[in-house]
Amino acid sequence: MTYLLDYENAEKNFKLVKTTVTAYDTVGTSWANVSGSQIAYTPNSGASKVIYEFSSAYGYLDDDNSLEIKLQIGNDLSSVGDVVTNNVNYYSSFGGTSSTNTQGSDMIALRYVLDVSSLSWTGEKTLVLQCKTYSSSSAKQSLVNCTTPTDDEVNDSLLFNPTVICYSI
Amino acid sequence: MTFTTNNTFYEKLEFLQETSPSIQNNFSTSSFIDITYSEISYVPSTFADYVEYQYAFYFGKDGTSGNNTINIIAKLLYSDDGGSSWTDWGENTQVFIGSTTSNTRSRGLCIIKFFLETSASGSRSAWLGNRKLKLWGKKQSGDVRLHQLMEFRGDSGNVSSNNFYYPSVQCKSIKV
Repeated sequence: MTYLLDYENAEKNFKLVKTTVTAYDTVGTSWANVSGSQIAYTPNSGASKVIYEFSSAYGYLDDDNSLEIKLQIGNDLSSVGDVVTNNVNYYSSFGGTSSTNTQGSDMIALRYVLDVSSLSWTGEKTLVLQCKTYSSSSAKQSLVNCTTPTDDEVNDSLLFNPTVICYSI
Repeated sequence: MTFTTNNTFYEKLEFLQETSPSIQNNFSTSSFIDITYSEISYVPSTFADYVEYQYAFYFGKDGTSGNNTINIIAKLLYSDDGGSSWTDWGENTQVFIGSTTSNTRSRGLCIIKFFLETSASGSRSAWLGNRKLKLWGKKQSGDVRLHQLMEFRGDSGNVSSNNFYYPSVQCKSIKV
């Protein structure tokens, strides 16, 4: 599907939230909010789509590190849920899943497109990313909002400030 | 090559792309050096609260017989005197890309993106005029080659020395 943007009128109601982190998130075996991914957003009047973008980085805690991410939406942080049935199109995953060491670090750059009308989205809603390890494995943990040049994550991890953007088209 | 555009959202996009890049594989584990083609000079729009800096590049194995441990550490620097002196931007603008294990044989296109405040912070003055940005890089271990697609088989079945990814760097102004 193709959307044509009139740049004179596109990308309204731009909102950016940058978070200065002082610690990384440790990805666990069950879904948990990603620090710095939360944003409260009201679509621009007449908008058909909301674009959600998240920029950060991840590193490894376990040698075989993985990361699964999903976007959630709700009236507030305590009531978020899947964007659509089975959350199709709102998942992503990173890292390795085999028993071979991965020790991966990389940037995270996510973009999700949300349909305003199908969500009956009129007022402010909260969007947030949640993450967990691949297959909920306790042996495949990653770290978010940092990268890891060594296995001494406590002393050597490089923190990264996450940024989330929303705008309407 | 430089392109400049303006619109109501991303104002004053400045985009540089090197269409004839040279391989960079001279990184050491001990000291930082310039990452080629990552430098840009930029004056934000007057309304800007943030400048978004992006550097897109390819990294991978240093030749067919290169080390299988592939990684790079990059950090952002700025200069307010035309490039005579450079200072760490700081504020969590250093990243490690790749892996320290040979099992991964890391490679791929990477976009390093930072959202930089235009306001003053610490010893850094407000970003009102021309400011240069660039990345410094070093490796944690192994070897790394930038800009040329090694271990790329394409259609021929063979590694081609002509497969380059043209690195690009861009800045744009953002108001929140």
